[in-house]
Formats: sequence, structure tokens, C-alpha cells
Amino acid sequence: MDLTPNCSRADTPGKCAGETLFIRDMQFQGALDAVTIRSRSRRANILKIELPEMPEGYFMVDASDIPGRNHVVFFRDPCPYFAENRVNYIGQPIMLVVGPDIRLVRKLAQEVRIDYDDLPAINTLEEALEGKVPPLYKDDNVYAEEIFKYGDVEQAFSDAAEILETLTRTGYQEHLYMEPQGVVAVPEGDRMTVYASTQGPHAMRLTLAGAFGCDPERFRIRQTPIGGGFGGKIEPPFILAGHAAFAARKCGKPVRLTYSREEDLLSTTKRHPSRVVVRTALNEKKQIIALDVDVVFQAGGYALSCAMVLDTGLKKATGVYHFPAARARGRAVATNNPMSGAFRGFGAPQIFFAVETHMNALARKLGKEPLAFKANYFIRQGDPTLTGGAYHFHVALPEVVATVKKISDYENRIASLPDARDRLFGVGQALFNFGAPFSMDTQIPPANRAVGLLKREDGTVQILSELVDMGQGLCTAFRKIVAKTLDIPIERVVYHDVDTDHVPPVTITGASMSVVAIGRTLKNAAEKLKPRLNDPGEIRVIEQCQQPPHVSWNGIKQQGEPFHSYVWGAIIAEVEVDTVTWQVLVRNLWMALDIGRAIDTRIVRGQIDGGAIQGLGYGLLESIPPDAMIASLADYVVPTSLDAPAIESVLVENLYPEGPYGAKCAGEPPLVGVAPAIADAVANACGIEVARLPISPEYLMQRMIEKP
Amino acid sequence: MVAGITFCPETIQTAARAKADGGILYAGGTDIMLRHAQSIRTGQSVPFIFLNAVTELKRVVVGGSKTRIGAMLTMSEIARSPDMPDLLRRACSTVGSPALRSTATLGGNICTASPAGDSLPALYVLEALVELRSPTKTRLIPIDSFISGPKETVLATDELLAAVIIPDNNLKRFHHRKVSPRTANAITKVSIAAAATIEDGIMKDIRLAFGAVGPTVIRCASLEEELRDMPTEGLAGTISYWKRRVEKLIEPIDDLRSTAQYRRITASGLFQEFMNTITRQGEG
Amino acid sequence: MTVSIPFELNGAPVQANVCPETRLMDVLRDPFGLTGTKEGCGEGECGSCTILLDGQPVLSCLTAVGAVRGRPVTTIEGLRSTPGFALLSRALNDAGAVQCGFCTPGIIMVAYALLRDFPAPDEKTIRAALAGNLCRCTGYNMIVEAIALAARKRGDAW
Repeated sequence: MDLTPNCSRADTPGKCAGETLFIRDMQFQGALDAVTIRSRSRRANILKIELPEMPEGYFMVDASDIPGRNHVVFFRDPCPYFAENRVNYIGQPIMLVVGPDIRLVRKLAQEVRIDYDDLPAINTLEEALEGKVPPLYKDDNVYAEEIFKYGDVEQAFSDAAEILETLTRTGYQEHLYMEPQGVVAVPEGDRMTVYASTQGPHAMRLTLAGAFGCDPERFRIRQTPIGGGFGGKIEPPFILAGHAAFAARKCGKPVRLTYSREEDLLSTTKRHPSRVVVRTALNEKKQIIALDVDVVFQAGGYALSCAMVLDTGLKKATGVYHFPAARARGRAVATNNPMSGAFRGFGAPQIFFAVETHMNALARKLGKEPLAFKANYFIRQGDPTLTGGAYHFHVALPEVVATVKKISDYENRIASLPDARDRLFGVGQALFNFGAPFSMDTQIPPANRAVGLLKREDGTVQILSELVDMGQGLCTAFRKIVAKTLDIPIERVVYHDVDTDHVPPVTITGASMSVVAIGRTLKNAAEKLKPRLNDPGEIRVIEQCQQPPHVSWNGIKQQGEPFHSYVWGAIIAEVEVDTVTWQVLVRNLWMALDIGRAIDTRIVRGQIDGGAIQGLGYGLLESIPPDAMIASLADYVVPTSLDAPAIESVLVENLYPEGPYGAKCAGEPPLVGVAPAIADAVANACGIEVARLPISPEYLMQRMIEKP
Repeated sequence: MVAGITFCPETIQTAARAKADGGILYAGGTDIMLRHAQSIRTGQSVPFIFLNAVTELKRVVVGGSKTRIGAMLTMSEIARSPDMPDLLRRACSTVGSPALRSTATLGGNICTASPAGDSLPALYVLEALVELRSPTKTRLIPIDSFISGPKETVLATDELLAAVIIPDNNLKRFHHRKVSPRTANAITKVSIAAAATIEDGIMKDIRLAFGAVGPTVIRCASLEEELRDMPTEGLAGTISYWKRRVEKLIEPIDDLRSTAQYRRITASGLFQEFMNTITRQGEG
Repeated sequence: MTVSIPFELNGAPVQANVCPETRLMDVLRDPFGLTGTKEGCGEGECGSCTILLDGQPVLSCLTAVGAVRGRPVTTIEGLRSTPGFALLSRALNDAGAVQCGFCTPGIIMVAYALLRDFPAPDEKTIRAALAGNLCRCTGYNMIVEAIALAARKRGDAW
């Protein structure tokens, strides 16, 4: 088959008909329902727990029911399944009530009384750094800290004729996958099968084995259709799976644990709020001679994967620019808030908002046309990364910029902005890149990570991969790669929901690595299968993942190529600001994106449009108070069909030789630059600098009141 | 649990009696299902009295210098009915989402008595009366006396709100705007409903009401009084004064959805927008 | 208090023996086993649970089953065999408008009622009709295009 025509997705008919069974839709004979009892205190010692009288067949499950360790072993730092004596955030799980009638289970859960001895809590990242309240983590509240640099930054700043500093803040963002979290644990003899809406089936299996202190083979994870993930079904499902499995072990029956939206909003991970200070040193000619970036991410009551999110974000801290010297320092700090975690963009949205806001502010200050100003500093092929590696392949920045200017009619549009009573109009832009996948340490032997193909008796070819389709179209993209390589119709290639008994471990689905890295491995497998495709019987080809030869990464020194490949992108946004309500309406978005080669342009457009609107929500609407207390969708406002502007996107082809058919990644990049482009458009419309996300009408009004 | 309550009455009297016996009236359900979500989820709900079979509550009568709107008319029915006052139609079309508007009722919106209830500012401007019925009595009271506080009304235990009566008026210009966190399907941060009549360059009549900037909808009677019979020509020049008057009359607060400052400034901005519109349009 | 509530479900007369306060969505999903109606929020904000009541899109999470006594209720299962559904699901496929699919049945319910009542809706009408259906994957534009595509090919589907 040919890659060019777009393919129908095998999952679409069932989803339209409502026949696709999500975890809530599946029937399990004799299943009990579980409800989680959560901390109502931000930070406290638990003094006393009073339980209601439990009717026959109803159970309490708590830390004492954990056969192994009360720690989610996927994470380096402690993260208990159930609080024992201490709670670190409102919503932290303490115990479960389990039983056959969900209504009675809920009623019993309401009747549990817990007394707390409240302790002074750390509510914000400032409080975490100030140290006035006893620390939550070690002696400084810093879960993770790192510094990357090249060149002599100190010297540059002491030589500088001028220094510009910006401080930007971003808030929480909730994934708001439409399907709330859910798992079902089913005891089967000495094994247990966990059905889960998860982005990481094998990681879940290993994590459960850690909690049970047993052989991972005792667990089988079956991924159910995922009603949206965006990174939000990486970390929380580990906790749900543990809870359901402990309960199933105790009761000897299947246990279903599904969150209500309220519970999901309150207790699951969100994008890390940030505070970023960017400084540039300028010489007499007003040229940038050094960049210094200081990033603080607000993590919550436990660290989860904050070190990784910080790390992948921080490695992008020079934006799309190369300067004579650059330094980035990052810290992730502990607060008594619900936990922040992985979310589409993985640290990049905060960093690019900070860097692009700084560059745009600097261009305005110097009176320069921003895109021309930025072009002086574009990364070029061969330039060093922040970690001493290099950008090995062609950098398509000039092309994406030229393309986005052309499709938006950029100069004319700015010159002919409308003039209206009670309205301000503006055009803004932002540039971004996205490195993916992140490199594994090449100093140590590669871990056992593989995908494969199974040619079946009937001639169909099954893809053996633990990667999940959560709507992004992965199954179709993989089927297409395999069908193209084998030169067979796509209908002959099948992809099932993941069952850890039948597919080898490869990685959690995330970090935009599926197509670029695993897709490549799959293509290698298909090339090996191809000569034997017409042989009789079953043929299984398992292919180990390998990093491409240009990647060298020393994980201990944090030196080398941080990522295998880079996507390059440019966005232009046109906004209309209502000067009565200070609401911002995005009239148009244009995006030019180099993703190498698109495996399926319609799927890629789905990623671009969806990412752009999620980015628009991040930029304008999606607001959670600093204490993260949000329990209703009435209060967490995401874009609707009426908030989505026309989006015109163009793909700039710049093949990545190590990707399958030249493909890079497309899942995360489209979100990254949208908020900074909107912020720039608002700044241009209103004649102010925008220093935080979301740009709420309240914030914008305040800025206009303060405007000199 | 209250046993033996009729859950699907067909007359107002039966419904009122069932309410007196401890049931909760269910009109469109969109508010009550949220308010009682917890008890429904635990199987502990008080009994609901479903009003959709009470045909009298769906009736609309136009004539006799008034429009009588049955309390069970839904937001979408009102929004698309040419019999309804324009201002009310516009207000009702801003409620929630289309699917919500298909069930949410006018009576329900009034009895919920939220300061952010979207039909309310329009009803205040239209000087609507509500018809309250008990098994034995009927009384008519003005909307602003019916709502006594945030989520509070003067409805007696054995009463239900049967209809809304809108007296005919001579108002010529109507204005409505709702400000909410996104384009549609969101709770109001601040809203304005207003009406005016301008004749021979004189503001013959003006009425103003604001939503979500006080414990109840705020009608600006003293300001209306001041503006009445003023020549419209000079109003643009003194608009800052009038805006300050608006800002003094409203009582916004900080909450999860917005700030007092934002609501105050936006409310006076909405007022200015209204004044600009009507003075620009000239006579009528 | 459990009572017997007769109503019409996907064209057939049925009885639900439940408390009338029970959410319609819960009754549809169990005992009737119609799991195409999804719970995305349970508070009337997301539209995933949209069904048709008297032919109009209604949120089944904010509807108590007592309110549907004697009235026709249609779920996605009841639309499956209609020409309108076939048209819409093909258009959603062709426009690439289905990603995770959790919101899709609710969107089809709304689109079905829209195209039944408005044979040729403009983009603004389509967007307004969808304003209560949250989709976090697609950014909506491809859904709007799908519905416009279905409208163009409408023929005598309704």
C-alpha cells in the first residue's frame, strides 16, 4: 500500500455506534465496587479513624492490606498507595470501601470519620522555596534540581551593556480526558488480571509486582479502550490499579474502581504550574550574548515523575535559538497540593511560553520586527544543544517561518487590522521545537524493549506492541507503516488492545516517541518478516529497540544528545480583545510544522487541531486556583466548539532519516506554541506585556488598569 | 423517605399537596439533579414530584395586557417562541447548553433563585409577577419580592410557582448581554438586562438590572429615576458619572469564577455599552 | 421507593422498576445495558450522556427516570439502524472526526437531531448545536466538517 491516502481508522465504527466498551461499560461477573476515602486535610497527622458498622459482604481496604510495599515503585521518590499516619494533600487516598451495592458503598464511605491534627501547609511554589513552613521533602522542598549550560554565561552577563529580565507564570492544566479514570482487578487463581484505561500496561504490571512483592508474571494487564489520555493516564492508573488489586486480593472477587469526574478533577495529576525567570545579556549592538533561564515547577504532595517532566522541559530551555552562552537551571518543588504530572508537552509548554514571551518582549523593546529579530539566533544544523550534543539534521526553521507567514498573509494582516469600537485587534507569533524521543543512556546496555509482528495462519499480520491508542491514531499509523513495508493492504494488518501476556514490554505510550522510535523498530521487524510473509504457518518476528547511531547520551553526566530528533514549528495567532469584558477571541490560527513525513495527514491534522485547541484552552480559559481545589467542570472551563477558531496548518516536509519513512512525531508539538502566540497577539493588541497563563479577562483588565 | 407521595401529579393542586407532604418539585431537573446528586448517588434521595404531566403548567396565554407563561416552559421553548418578550427570549437563549435548555424551565430558573440565574435580570426589567398556587390559594407577587436572597424565595411549603406574568409595556429598546468564562455553556460572571424608550430626545423610560453582582439580581431603580426624562444628548458626556453610579449600586464579590473588581468594572462597561447603543440609535 | 415507570425506549415499550429519582443514564446503562450513553462528568457539563427525549437532545445525567414516564427515549443504540446514523458515522469517519471516541455517541445524538430539523445548517448553526458537547481530542473543527459533510449528502436520510 501507499502511505499517501488517508486511512479509515478501524476503531471509528464501534466508537460511533457506542459499541466500543470502555472500562465502565464492561461487565464482570460478581464484581464489587470500590470508593476511595480521601484526605480532607492539606497536611496533617491522622489522629483517629472511625468506621461505620460494615454490613456482610462490605470491606475496608487500607495500607495494612498491601502484601508488599506501600509505595508506587514506578516512582523514584516515595508515593504511598494509602496514607498511613500522614497526609500531604487534600484528596490523598486513605482507604477504600468495597461492596456489591455501589450506592451503599458510597453511603458507608460518607460515614467514615477521620480526625486530623492539621499542620502548617505549603500552598505555593513561593512558600516551598521560602522555607518558613517546615519542609515537606528533605530540608529544602526540592524534589529535583538540575543545571545545563554552555559558554561562559557569568562573563557574558558581567560584560553586558544591557540585561532584560522577564518573569512568567503558568497555572495548572487538567487533562480532561473525557473518560474519567477506571480499572477493574480480577483475581484468577494465583494470578490477577487488571483491566485498565492506562498508557503503560507493562509498567503497571511491574508496579503492581512491586507492591505485592511478587513475580510480575502473576499480573496480567489488559488495556481497555482509552477515552483520552494526554499523559493523564500514565501516573494515576498505577495508583488505581494498586487499590483495586489490594481490594480484589482481600475480597477474592473482581473489584471495579472508577472515578467520578469530581474525584478525577480533585485528585488526579495536572500540568505543573511554573514560574520562569528569563534573562538575556545584550552587547552594545543590542545583540544577545547570553541567555539565563531559571525554572521552578510546582509539584505536589509527592514527586511522581516531576524530575522527568522538568528534565525534558529544561533541555529545551534555549527555545529554537542558539546564543554564544546559555544556562538553564530548573527545580521542582514540593507543595501540599494534588500531584502534578505528565501532560502533553511534558514541561515544554511552560518553557516555550517563558522563552517566546521574553524574545517577543525584547523585540518590542528594541523596536525590531520579531520574526526577523529571532532569525538572527535560529539554531542551525551542527549547533550544540544545552547538553553538549548537536543538532545533527537540517533545521527547518526558516521554512516553517516562511510558510506560516505566507499562509497567514502575515505582513498584510498586521498592516490591515480592523478598527472597531470596543475592540482591539492583534497578531502574534511563536516558534517552537520539540525533541523526541528523549535519549536513553548509551553508556549502559540497552534494556529489553521490543515490538514485533505475528504473521498468522490466515495471512493477517498482528502487531505485537504494548503501545496504546488513546485516540491519537497510533494503531492506524502503525498498521500503515507495517502495510507499506510489507506491501500488503492495511486491512491485513491488525492491532489489538494491549494484553501484557501477549506483547513484549517496550515503553509507556507518551513523550511523542511512538512513531519516530517504535514505529522505526516496527518497520525493521516488517522488513525482516517480508521475505517470509508467504511462508505457511505462524511466524513471529520480535525486534529490539535500538537508538540511532547519532545518539550518544551519558545519563550520569547528562551530556550528549538529549533527544533523537526535533520537530520545528511556527504559529501565528490573530486575536480580538473586547475592551468591555477583556475577553480574548482567537479569530484565526496558522501553524506550519515540520514533522518529517506524515504517516497519515488526516490523523496528523487531528493532532494539530486537537493540540491547538488544548493549547488555546491553556492560554486563555483553563484556570485552577493555586491550591488546585477544583471539583466541578462548571468551574473548569475548556474550549467548546464555539471557542475553536479556524486553524490552517501546513506540513513542511523535512525527512528524518532515522524515522519510519522519514517521520518524526506529531502528538505533543501542536500544543506547545499556541499559548505563547496568543499571548503575543494579546500583547500587540493591548500594548502591554503578558506575563502569565491563562490570560483571564480578570488578569488582562488588571494589566490594562496598571498600564502606564 | 416520605412514603405514599404522588410522584407524577396531573394537577397543580395535587402537586402542591405532594410538596406540602415533603416531596421536592422536579420541573426540568437540571438544577435539582445537581443539588441532590449526593443523595441520589447513595440511594437516599427525598422523593421528587415530577411536574411534566401537569399540563396547565405548560400553557401560554397572550392577551389582556399581559403575557402569562406557564412555569414549565423550557428555555428553548421560550427562546424560539415569537409570543414571548424579546428580552426574555434572548436571556433564555444564553442559558447553559442546547441540551440543557431543552429541559431547564423558566419556573425552575426562578425558584433556584441564583444571583447568576440567566432569566432573572430580564424578568426584573420586565417587572414580571409570579403566580404562586397552593391547594387552596393563589397569590401574585413581583419577581423582586419573590426572590428574597441568594437561593431563597418566599415560596411557602404548600405552594408552587405556576406561572410568570409579564405585563405589557411601552419599552422600545431592549438589551441583554451575558459575560461568562467562555463563548457559551458557562455560568455567568456578570450580566445586564436593560430596556429604554427615547422620545423627542428625552429618555422617557429606562430600566436596568444586573446579574451575578449581588446576593440577588440588582435592579437600579434610583439610577433609573435619575435618568428618566433626561435629554439623551448630554448623556455621553456625563457617562463617567453614570458609570460610577452603577458601580455604587452593585455589590459584587470575589469567588472562584471571578473577582469583585472585574465584575464591578465590567458591569459599568456593559451599562456604557447599552447607553452607547441606545443613544446612537436615536428615537424609539 | 421503587415504582414501575413505563416509557418508550428505542421504539419499544419498557418498564423500569426503580426509584424515580434515579438518573436516567444509570437506568439506561443498567438494567437496560445500553452502554453507548457515556458518563463524562455527571453534572451536565460535557454532553457525553446526551440522549433524545421526545426527539430532543437531553442530558441523561440531569434527568431523573421519573420524568420520562410515558415519553419516548432514544439512545445511540436506537439510532444504529437508521439511515441518518449511517450517514453521520460515515461522515465522521471520512472527516477524521473520531479520536478517543468517548464523546462521539453524544455528538451523534446532537447531530442527528440537528440534521433532522435543519437540512442545511451553516457552520455557525452546527457549532452552536455542539456547544454542550465537550471533545478534548479533535479541537472540534473536523467534527463540524463531518456534520457539514453529512448535511451535503443528506438526501432522504430523514
